[in-house]
Amino acid sequence: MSKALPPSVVFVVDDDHAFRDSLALMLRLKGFVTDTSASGEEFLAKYKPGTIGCLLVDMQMGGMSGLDLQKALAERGSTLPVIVITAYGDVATARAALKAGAVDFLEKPLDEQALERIVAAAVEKSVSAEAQARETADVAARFERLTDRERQVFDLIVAGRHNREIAATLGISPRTVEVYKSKIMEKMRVTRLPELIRLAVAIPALGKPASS
Amino acid sequence: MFASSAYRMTWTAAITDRPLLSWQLAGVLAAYVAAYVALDWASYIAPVAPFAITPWNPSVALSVVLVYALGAWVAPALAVAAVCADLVVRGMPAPLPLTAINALVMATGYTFAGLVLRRALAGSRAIDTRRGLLWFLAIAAASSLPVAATFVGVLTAPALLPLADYWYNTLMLWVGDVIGIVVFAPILLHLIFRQRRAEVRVPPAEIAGQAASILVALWIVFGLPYTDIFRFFYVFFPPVIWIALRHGVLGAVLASIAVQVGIVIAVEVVNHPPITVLELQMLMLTLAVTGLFLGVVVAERREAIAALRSRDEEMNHILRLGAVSEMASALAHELNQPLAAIANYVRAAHMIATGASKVADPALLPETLTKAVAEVDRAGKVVHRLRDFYRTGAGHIEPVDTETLVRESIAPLSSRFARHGIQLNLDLPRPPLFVLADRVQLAAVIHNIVANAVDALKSISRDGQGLPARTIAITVSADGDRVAFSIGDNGPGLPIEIRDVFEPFVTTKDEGLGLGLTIARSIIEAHDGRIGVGRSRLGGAEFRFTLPAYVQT
Repeated sequence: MSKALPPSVVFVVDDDHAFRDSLALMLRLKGFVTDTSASGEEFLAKYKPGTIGCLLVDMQMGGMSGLDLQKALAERGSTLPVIVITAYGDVATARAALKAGAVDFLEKPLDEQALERIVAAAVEKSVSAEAQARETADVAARFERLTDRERQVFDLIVAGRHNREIAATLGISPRTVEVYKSKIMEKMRVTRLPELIRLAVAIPALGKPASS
Repeated sequence: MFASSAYRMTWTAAITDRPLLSWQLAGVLAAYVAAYVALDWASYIAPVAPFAITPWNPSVALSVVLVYALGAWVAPALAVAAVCADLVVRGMPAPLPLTAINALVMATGYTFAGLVLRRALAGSRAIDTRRGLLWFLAIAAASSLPVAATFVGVLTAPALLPLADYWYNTLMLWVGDVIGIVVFAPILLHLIFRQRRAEVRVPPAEIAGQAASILVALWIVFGLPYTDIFRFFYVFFPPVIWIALRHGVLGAVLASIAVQVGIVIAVEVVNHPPITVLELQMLMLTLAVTGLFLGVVVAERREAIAALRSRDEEMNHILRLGAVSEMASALAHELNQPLAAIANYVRAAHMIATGASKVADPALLPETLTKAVAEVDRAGKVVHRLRDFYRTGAGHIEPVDTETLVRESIAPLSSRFARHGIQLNLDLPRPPLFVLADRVQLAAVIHNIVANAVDALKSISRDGQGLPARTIAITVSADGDRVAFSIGDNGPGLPIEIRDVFEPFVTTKDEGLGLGLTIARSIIEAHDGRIGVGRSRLGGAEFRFTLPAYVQT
């Protein structure tokens, strides 16, 4: 099994010290783990891929703008949900941020309920996306350990063939198919056939390399 | 035609604030006739006896002004007045038909003069412009010449006057009528249409001095036995010029009248021959015209100064308001930060106090409230700055880091750069240069200029291939003891005259007041800087301004 997910962190990026500090305090009191940065550059310096949680960024900053930071993160393939903070009524900025992939926006001064709801949703999204990604990576890693013959058998099982058909297709005995099957189940860490099929369906890319 | 009844109403309103009744009109006409006769009697000097040919006829000014005020319908009264005067003052020396003909000639000529003057001075009701004065002089000269020529002709034809003296007599009457109108009509107009205008307060001592100067001049010219009146006539000019310069048209008119009356008394006492009086009157005419022109020029200048001053005040007020609104929008961001932080701290405090917090730390509540109070102070300072600016126009001057300044000024525009695909080229020196300035005001200037550039760029199409991307270049560089900022773009450039863009209400945009650059200029100049505009190397407009550098010690 893969190791447990790291704790999710709510990152706050704002060039105004008081605003950043007060926002982080509010989030901490609500039970979130927070991390503050005074600029986009500062945040990028400590950003690591696979970080989970969410990013709250002020759109109006000197230096690197909120939009620039969004772009820089996108270039690095970040999946960290971005929530932008805009001046009250600044629809144009909010729209630009959403177009650039922000999950939501908050207006200053912040609405406490909206803040909690939006941040919680973003964190949850990040956690599930990371869990999904980790599972995908995990399954892919397990799949990597299958031999070519096992992959052939795997493909045919997933395609819904019976042992006899598989045996005939591959020119081996049904007994040998049984052996491959149990090895596959063991390597993929599943105990029942439906679980194996679920893995294959959930990750459609699997099996493709073997068929080529 | 002139709308005489409407005009009559206006005129009467000017004097009595209510329309004249017919008996009052009759009274006005009777008073006119009486005044005409009296004035004719008083001014019957050095005549070509026994006729009404003298070198000073102020009574005709009464006729011209009466027509000017009431309209053409008073013409018969002019003729009646002329006949009465001839009868009373001179016992009607010519036969009645000739007297009647000449009365009609004068009535016709001066009715015409009054009507033309009315049209020429339309609206102004006073001789207070050079144009009005020229018309007035031209009308006086042009109307009285045919009157004089015909009048003398009517008396010369039946040989009541010698034919040989025809031109001399005509000249005498002409000069007398012209000077009568020129010296006397302006004061009548002034008395009837009392103009309320800002007169410069002149100390009584000076007024006394002015009066004395005229008396001294009269004494020098006429009183001293060894001064020739013609060679010393110029002595009248300094007092008249002095008075005209100080009091404008009214002063010039009063001074002319004083000199004129002095001359008349002097020639009566000394009993100069008519030819001498005629020559004196021609000099008097030049004096009166000089005084009137000076007075008019002074009046125009005062008017212009007053207009300029009120325009200036209006402009400053608008600019101040505009600058305040620009300041206000720049400060909105400044104010929003502490307010948003206060809201957060207070909510956090509330959570802690109500036990909704998931962090239990007894020191947290006082700490949070202290931070909230600090932010309240910060918000208060922002508001104080706005109030200071509104009151004094001054800002908060401090060393400002130009790099941060530029970046902060354009940060609010970043989404517009992105939306219109505008490439931003920043050339900011490192380490950053510092200027002495009000950060917020300067940010408003840079923001305004860059926002203009964005507007200019978004109007141009960049669909064609191979065209350079929309670009804004901002450069900050050292320039001696100053720091030079330049903001250029590759837009279409300025479509209007370059020197006009800083003027108020000059704009190329459908919305907007055209005050942004005006305010920018006033802010830069208030910082002891200069702002200008030219063509950018990129192809569009380029704004450049300099500010005093701050050198860190």
